Amino acid sequence: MSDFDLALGRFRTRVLVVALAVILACSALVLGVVARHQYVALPPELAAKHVNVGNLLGREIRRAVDLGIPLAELRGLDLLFRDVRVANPEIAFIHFTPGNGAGMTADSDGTIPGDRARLRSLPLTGHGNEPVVSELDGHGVLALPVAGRDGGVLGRLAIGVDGHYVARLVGDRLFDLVTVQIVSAILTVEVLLLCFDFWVTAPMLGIQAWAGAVSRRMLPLPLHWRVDNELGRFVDRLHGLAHAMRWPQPEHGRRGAALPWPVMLRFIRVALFAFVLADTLSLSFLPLFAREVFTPLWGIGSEVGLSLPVMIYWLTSAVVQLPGAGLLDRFSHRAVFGGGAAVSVAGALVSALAPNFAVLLAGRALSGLGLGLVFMVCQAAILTHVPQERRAYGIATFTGVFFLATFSGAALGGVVAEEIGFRATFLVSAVVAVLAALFAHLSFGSSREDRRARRAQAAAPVSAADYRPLLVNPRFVGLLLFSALPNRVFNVALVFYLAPVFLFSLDNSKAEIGRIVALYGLTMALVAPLAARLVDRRGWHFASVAAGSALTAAGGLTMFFLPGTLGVGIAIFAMGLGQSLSIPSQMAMLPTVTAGQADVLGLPRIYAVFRVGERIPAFIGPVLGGALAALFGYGNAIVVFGGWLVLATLLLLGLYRFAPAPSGVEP
Amino acid sequence: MMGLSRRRLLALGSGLVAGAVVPARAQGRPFHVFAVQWRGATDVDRGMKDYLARAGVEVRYTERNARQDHKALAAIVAEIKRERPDLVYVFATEAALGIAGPVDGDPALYVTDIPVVFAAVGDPLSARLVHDLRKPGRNATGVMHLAPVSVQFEAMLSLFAAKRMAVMYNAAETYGRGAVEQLREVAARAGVELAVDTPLADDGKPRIELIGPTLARLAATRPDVLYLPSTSFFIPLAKPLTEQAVALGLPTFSANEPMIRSGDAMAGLVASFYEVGQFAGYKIEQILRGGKHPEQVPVESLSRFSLLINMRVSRRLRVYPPITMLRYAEIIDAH
Repeated sequence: MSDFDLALGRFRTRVLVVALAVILACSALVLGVVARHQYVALPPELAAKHVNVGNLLGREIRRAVDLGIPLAELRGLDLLFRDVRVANPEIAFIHFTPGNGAGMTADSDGTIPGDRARLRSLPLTGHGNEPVVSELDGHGVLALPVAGRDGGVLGRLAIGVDGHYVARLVGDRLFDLVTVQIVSAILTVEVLLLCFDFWVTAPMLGIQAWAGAVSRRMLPLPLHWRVDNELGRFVDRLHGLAHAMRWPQPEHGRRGAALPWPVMLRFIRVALFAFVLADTLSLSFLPLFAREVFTPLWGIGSEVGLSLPVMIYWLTSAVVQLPGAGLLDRFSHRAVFGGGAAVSVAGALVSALAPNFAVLLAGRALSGLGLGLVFMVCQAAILTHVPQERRAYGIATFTGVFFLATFSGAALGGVVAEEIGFRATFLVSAVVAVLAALFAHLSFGSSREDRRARRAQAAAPVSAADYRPLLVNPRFVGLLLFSALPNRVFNVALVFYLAPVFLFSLDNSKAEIGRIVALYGLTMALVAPLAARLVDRRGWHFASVAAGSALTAAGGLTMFFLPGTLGVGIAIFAMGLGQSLSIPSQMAMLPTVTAGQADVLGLPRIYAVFRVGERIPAFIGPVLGGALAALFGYGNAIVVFGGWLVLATLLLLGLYRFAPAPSGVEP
Repeated sequence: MMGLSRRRLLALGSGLVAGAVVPARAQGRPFHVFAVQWRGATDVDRGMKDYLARAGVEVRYTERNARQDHKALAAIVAEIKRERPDLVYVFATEAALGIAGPVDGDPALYVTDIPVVFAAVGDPLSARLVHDLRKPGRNATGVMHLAPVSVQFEAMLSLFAAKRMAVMYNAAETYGRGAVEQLREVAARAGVELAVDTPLADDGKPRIELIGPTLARLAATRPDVLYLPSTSFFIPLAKPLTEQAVALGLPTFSANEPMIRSGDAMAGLVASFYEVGQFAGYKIEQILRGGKHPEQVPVESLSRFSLLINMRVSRRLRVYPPITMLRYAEIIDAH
């Protein structure tokens, strides 16, 4: 990397940090104001509401008495109170004591404070007066008189509200707002970087290329792109100046210069981000939506059946990658991206309108096909545009943006679904996918440019026999079977199926489920680049793979001791941390593990074999999760996956201890 | 065919077809509806007539009261066949069976070639008045007026917390027998004891003088509630019958509105007779003015039923409804 690149990078980082700091500071200020307002405004509003609730209940009691029902024979008050509690979840209990000394009292369900004498002696809120809320056993209690028609007292009502309710409500709303703010900040950063790279980096790199050519007294390559600002026009003038000098053209001069690869990479990144964001909006609630339309198919029970939409999505997304490669030879990247997005949009629409479970499965299969095609074309575009020596960075960018978008989609999807419902969220997915396709169409190169770039970077042809040494390489196969595959299967089973269904059964809201599930993507997006840098610098790749798997396994085993929401949160967080360590390190190990085969096959093919080998079996994750859940329950199914990963990690350690290392390579 | 376009010819043809279904329309005179009552004029008949008047359907009525006499129905059938009205309207199951006959009845004995609309029929399927509720399968359709027996049973459970129920029904009527069958099933499932009796004489006909002894036998079983399934036999006796029940300390739950409004039944889950009549009027309009064949008009009931509670009776018996039911019940005699 030249000093020029470093300086440009530093400048960009500073712009970004300042912009982010301003955005986050403003967001924090707004959130603080909102939270403070709610803390102050909510309790009086709630008290006023409960005065109304109490007055309505009092009116019903008075009416019953007016109809001639003696208080002592009043039936059904407990059911009436229960109905009120269902409609007002913040109410912890309702208690009625008759004023005529009759022995009858009536309680709702819920927790009634034990000290009944104190409950009956709390100060009353008079008619038209400010509500008087007393504290009793951690509850805020409002006591109201029930007056008869003649003005006499029929009794008193006590309405208790959970003392932590307001804090919980404000906390929940803040969580939602923070989630939206984080996703907004991520989107802002992506857009800022895109603008910066197109309007600043591209012309600056054009100037750099011009300077390089001029220093060799050569004519710089004509530009195939144009930036309409001062810098861009300056680059045009510099090129015009060089032409006036009548210097010789370089050998490949007629082809001209494509958009600089960092800018192209940025375009691909934004298109992929938008598409994956659209596709993962349904991530946190898909099993819950499936439950709504579920009808037993082919005699399959609900536990396994509900995993089918997730399974079929992963299956089609993996399977399409094998025949999909042929499409890239015939069509341009933007055409394949557009086709994948169109299929995905169709899938989202079918899912949104699905009248039954079978149609939902068809919708998810289409969405999976769409994701597979877009995933493949973005990967191919990176390999096409990013030079050989920066390809690892390109792939890291690709992985990073995938998880960042997964986090954003899952977190945002939970909030959106809470507001507008499952089906409407699928429609939002379709709209965002269309926008992603439009962006890709405008920014991806034409088919002629793609073909030219592919020809320039094409590797020598290989035969099927050339793959054999790779498939019998014990370290390669061990890395695939004992690390990549179990990690991926556990990941798909936990994040896409077991966690949402289990969290829902524990009465978590859709937004809460979205937040917890999104923890995985967020951890991956934040920790993976840092971990990769550290591991690269120290050369701890194998240790990182083993430690990452162990950490993920430990998260799963935690469910044995904490079989609740906290346990699921820890398992997902541990998986994010563990896979931040293991996934990039697996990729980094491949060149050394396959040192002999990489010379023949080329690294891209080895990466492709590894990825297909890990992803295609991943579809069994949800089904296996469903089957284990049917046998042992959702919590214990996660524990079993943890156990499997422990066993796989031990086998990997044993294999690398005893299997011979490729010659000339340190294990 | 000079001057007669194809469109006009088609219009003329379709007019001839419509004329076959709706003869009065083509002739520009009011429709002729033959209304058959079973026990004199009711709110159902009034609802039907009011609806048609408000809808602007001009109707000339011929009204006959069978006075709960099956033999009188045969004479009415003969008169209908002579008069050839545009439509026959019939109130109650027994009258409908006497006029339209069962689905496989002899056309010589019943009205089968003139549209029949029946109202206030409890269970037209069990009575074999139609083949299917959605597609009656014959020249007759109509309106049911009763909430399903299982729903009435649930209402009684909630209202009286009943463990033991008594049922007095008219075993001579098709609907009564069917309702008791259904009640036995739901009561067995809920673990509720059922005592069933009927004021039937040896000749198989119900007798007013047998009502008192029947009630006394049922009261001896100490039920939490007395249930009276729908029957035209009880309705004219609403007041004396329910007064006897109250005297015996029995809270009564009835399937018919007049038993609660005019009598001393304590409660009931009922359809408003007037609204049932209006719904029948709507079906008559569909046939006369809309040109629909009764086969195309489904047999339906109102989608909403009212829980009526007579608080005067409740206070007298000291049997009180739960406060939750007061929220949606229609209270009679509140003070």
